[in-house]
Amino acid sequence: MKVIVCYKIVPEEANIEINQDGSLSFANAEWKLSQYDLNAVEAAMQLVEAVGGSVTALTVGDQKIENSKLKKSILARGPEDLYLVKDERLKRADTHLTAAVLAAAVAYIGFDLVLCGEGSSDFYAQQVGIQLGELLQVPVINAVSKITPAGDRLIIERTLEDEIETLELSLPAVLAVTADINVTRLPGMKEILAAGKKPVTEWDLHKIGIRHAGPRVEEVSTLAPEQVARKKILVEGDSEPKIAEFLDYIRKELK
Amino acid sequence: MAGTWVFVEQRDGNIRKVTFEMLTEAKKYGDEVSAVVFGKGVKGLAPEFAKFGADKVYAVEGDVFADYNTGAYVAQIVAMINEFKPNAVLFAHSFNGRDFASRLAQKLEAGLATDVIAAEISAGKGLFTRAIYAGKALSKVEITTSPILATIRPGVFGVAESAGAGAVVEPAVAAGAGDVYQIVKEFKPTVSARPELTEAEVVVSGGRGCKGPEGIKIIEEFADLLGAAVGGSRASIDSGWLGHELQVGQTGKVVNPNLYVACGISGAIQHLAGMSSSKFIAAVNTDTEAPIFNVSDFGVVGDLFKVVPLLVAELKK
Ligand SMILES: Cc1cc2nc3c(=O)[nH]c(=O)nc-3n(C[C@H](O)[C@H](O)[C@H](O)COP(=O)(O)OP(=O)(O)OC[C@H]3O[C@@H](n4cnc5c(N)ncnc54)[C@H](O)[C@@H]3O)c2cc1C
Repeated sequence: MKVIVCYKIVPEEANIEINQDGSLSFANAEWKLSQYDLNAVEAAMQLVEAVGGSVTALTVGDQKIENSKLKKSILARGPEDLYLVKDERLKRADTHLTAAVLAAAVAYIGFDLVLCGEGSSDFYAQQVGIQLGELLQVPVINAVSKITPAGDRLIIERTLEDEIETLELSLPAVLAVTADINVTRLPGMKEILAAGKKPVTEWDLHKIGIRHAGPRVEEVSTLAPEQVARKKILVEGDSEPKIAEFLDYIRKELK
Repeated sequence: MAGTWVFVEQRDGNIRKVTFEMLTEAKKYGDEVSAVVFGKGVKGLAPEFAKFGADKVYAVEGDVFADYNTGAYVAQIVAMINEFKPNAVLFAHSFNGRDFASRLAQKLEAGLATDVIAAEISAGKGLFTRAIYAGKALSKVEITTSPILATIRPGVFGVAESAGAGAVVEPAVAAGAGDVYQIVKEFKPTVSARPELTEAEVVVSGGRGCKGPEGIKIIEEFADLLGAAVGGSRASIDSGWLGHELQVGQTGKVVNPNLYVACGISGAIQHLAGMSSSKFIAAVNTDTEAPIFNVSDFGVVGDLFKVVPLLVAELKK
């Protein structure tokens, strides 16, 4: 099975700081691999370990995707090669543009299965995987929490709001996997060293035949949310009056 | 440009509350409001939507629509959009809602705002607010492609009844509706008798501080006395103490209850992304410095194994 895993480079959200005027500072937020995509990589590795085949990693973006530590970090997790589509016009790509670029790239590379994370840990729009499937005109489904290969088909489990759905899809297909589909493995020193020797191919938009790179969604503003005023009452211990006070609040909110 | 459509989120005739939230919100735009429902035996649900102001109900009946499936649903709604030309179509930000809306947006080459928490829609223009960077920032985005598409976070918009005509329209089943590529094998309900997390008025959550299934039992007993849903942090879910569908947070569910009680949860940013818009937040934690207290209205610095049983005992009185 030829599997392609898509991943995104995002800022470490825990280190994004909020300026006085409510704007965001990324000065201390280093670039990282989007967490949820690591679950997709792990799912791809487990599949290929079970049925044979190969895993290729793919990312699209501006020059930050060339960061050598990040390239090594993704390859150390198992994929045998890496494709980058680098173009400055992808700096603030919306989901449509991202999906269009991924679609062009995976068509060039060739695949049986494309795996994406459920959403990127920065904007978490949760659209790209699905839109990629539509562009490729292949079966696509989100919220995938288990994948079991069955010949040229896949048995998929989806964890929905209040039920688990089991369904069957034919290949080729695109799946967006949830963060709880697996526990990702941490690469060791050996894997990291080997990663440096794996092949990396770099393309630009022109190479994969994309001319138009405009957005469908316009960003108007990005600001820290107004802090909800919280009462912040803090009591210590479990004495009777404190428990009674706690219950008073609970009862008030119940009504 | 004929009004705002609300795609009904239902299964076997059970309508999810977010549908009524979307209808109520859509009424505010002053344009015609229609409910769009796909399924088997769904025509009869029309009065339910009329109660919340639906002027029209587009009901599409058929075996192929009985369960959600991307191919057939998208083919059907594309045909309807081309025929009736709505100004905007709103979907629930549920797993199926976002799957459906994303594929539709790509097919129509239209913009889509997902997980929307505030919306302003006028003719040809939608302005939407959504949380980014695990809730650290709010991003406002504008969509001017047609129709305007968005998925709406459950539990954010209020519900208000207002009588609508609820006139049933039965559109033709589209040619492409045979486009079924996913074969549904089974549905296994994961809910207990407790309310569903995203619809619950009260949520009691347990984290790593519960230390194991015994701790979770204490939380559950407390929750049941309050008629609450039970949720968990990633730590308690990953430990296997609670089912995956009960995770609250960025990668779990976003909840918006009147009362959220966090027991033994530290308050990591990914957890806060799923509950910080709750109306009243209470927390029980042994650590005075736990970040959960920064977003709490009422906090008890104490051992949940002592505090919660005392609450339970009082409630039982
Ligand atoms: C990509 C990504 C996505 C994530 N998504 C989510 C998500 O959706 N939801 C989520 O919850 N997390 C998510 N996380 C994990 C998150 O970062 C935290 O690790 C997790 O929320 C911690 O869970 P916790 O608060 O239960 O555990 P801890 O952080 O270990 O906190 C346990 C708390 O219990 C308290 N405690 C201990 N004993 C007691 C006692 N006897 N009585 C009272 N209090 C006690 C401790 O003081 C501590 O504050 C995600 C992480 C990543 C990297």
